[in-house]
Amino acid sequence: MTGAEATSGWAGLLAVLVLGGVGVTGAFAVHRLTAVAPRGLTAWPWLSGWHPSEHALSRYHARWYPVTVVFLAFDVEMLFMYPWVLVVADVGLSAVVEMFVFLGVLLLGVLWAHREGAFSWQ
Amino acid sequence: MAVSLRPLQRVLARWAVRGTAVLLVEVPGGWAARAAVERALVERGWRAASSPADADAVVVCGTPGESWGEVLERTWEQMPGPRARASVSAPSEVPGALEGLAASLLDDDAQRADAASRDLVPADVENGDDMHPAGLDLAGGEDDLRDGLEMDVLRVPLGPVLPDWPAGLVLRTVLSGDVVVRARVEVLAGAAARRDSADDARRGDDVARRLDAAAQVLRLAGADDVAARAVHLRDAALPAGLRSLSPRSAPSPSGLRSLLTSSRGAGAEEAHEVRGEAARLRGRVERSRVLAWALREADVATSSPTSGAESDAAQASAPGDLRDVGLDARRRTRDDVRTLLLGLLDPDARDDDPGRRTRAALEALPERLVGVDVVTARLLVAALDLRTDALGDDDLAAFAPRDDEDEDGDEADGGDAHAHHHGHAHG
Repeated sequence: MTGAEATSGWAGLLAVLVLGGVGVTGAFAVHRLTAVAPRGLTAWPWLSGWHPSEHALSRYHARWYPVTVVFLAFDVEMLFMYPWVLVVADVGLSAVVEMFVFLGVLLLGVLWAHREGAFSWQ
Repeated sequence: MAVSLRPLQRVLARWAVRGTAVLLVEVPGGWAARAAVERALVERGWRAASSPADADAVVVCGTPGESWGEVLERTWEQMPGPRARASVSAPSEVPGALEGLAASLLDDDAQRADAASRDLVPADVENGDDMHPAGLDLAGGEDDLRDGLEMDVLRVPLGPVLPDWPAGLVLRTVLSGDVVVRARVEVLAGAAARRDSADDARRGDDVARRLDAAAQVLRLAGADDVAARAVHLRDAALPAGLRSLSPRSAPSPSGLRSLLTSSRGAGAEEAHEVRGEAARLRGRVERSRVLAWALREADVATSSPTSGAESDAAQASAPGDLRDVGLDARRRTRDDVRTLLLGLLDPDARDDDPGRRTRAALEALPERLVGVDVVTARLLVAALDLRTDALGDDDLAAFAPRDDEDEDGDEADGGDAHAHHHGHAHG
């Protein structure tokens, strides 16, 4: 009984694969055989009817300093908080105070990054 | 084999033509034709394309002058097959032209012959190398308007083949990132013999044209439903002479279509109705929080309402934080866009001399766009409702296309922005 069920399961999977394969191959074949130019057209970038005058390989600056500070502020913060969570109950108040001083320092970095516009995408 | 595929090809072609995407190219003087084509597209269930790659067909509305040749040819070259083109100069030619497009797209043999005869890779694409991909120079840095990080500077022309853009306008911008550093205005004129036909188009259709401009702004702002409403109103407001296309009897979800058909001939009543609807639409735009947010109404607190141009100039020439100038210019421009949009929807507003107004706006445009991002620039250009077909010969001479070689001459136009140089980068 269980063997038969397993077989029918595999048969179903096989059917899905075969049908999917036939479908994809069929669609591709129809495209190749019916398109007026199956190779497709290579065209310049569209500039409202004009020819591009230069190639824009590196248009946008990643602004590494704000990105770095934001990474440190959020990722490293988490990094230190995982072990801290394990000991904070044992160590007590001093651990809480230390962590929040640390968070405060990192928050200064976040504020700086905010002033630099790291969070305002446009 | 090929013979047996024929029926399949025909079925596919007929299915594809039902949703043909049409790229509209409006030449100055072709406004009425363009509006008629747009209406006919809706009736046929076709749609407007956003670029040649998106298009099955291109329709040139109006009669282009010589300066259009290169642009139209390049547009045609960039369209993948099957493709078709037509040109209409009057609304009455529209139904026939669209029929012709459909027939041409369905003509499988001709489309195959066309595909076989053309270069699928443009002749001017070279292999290039790392420093010259496809034979193009790499974009270079330039002293930056924003923050001294020297982003690559690109020369990007906007127009004339661009949706929701004034007919024939070419804005040759120099972009740093998405911010306009410099801009130069050119106008590709319609054929001289045809230009006077714009005069009769200009007489009774002012309300319709302002509604059309409003629809363009709304589309650019992403408010498609409100834009569609404005387009319906535009069609209802068209003078009867420009409405020679008979609307089909297909039922329309909007009551305005029935307004359009039923009150035909009852000119005064209809005009009154359109005014009332326009006022209602204006209220809807005014109340919309999403639109207010999209046009950043709330952010304008920074610019003082009274001393517009003077304070801007003072800020722009201060050696302070240029990025703030950019953000400020953007906010200010978006606020202008909203004001202009509400003005366009005001049924009582009058536009006595669109030619003079357009010339003044075009002359002020390059300076106004410095520090503004591309999206805001497009919104502003649409909201200015520039009537390039109302420009006289001397205006057109002033904005005549120039060769690209004198790009350096632009430095004088945008010299103000260029003079500020942050020597130090961050860190």
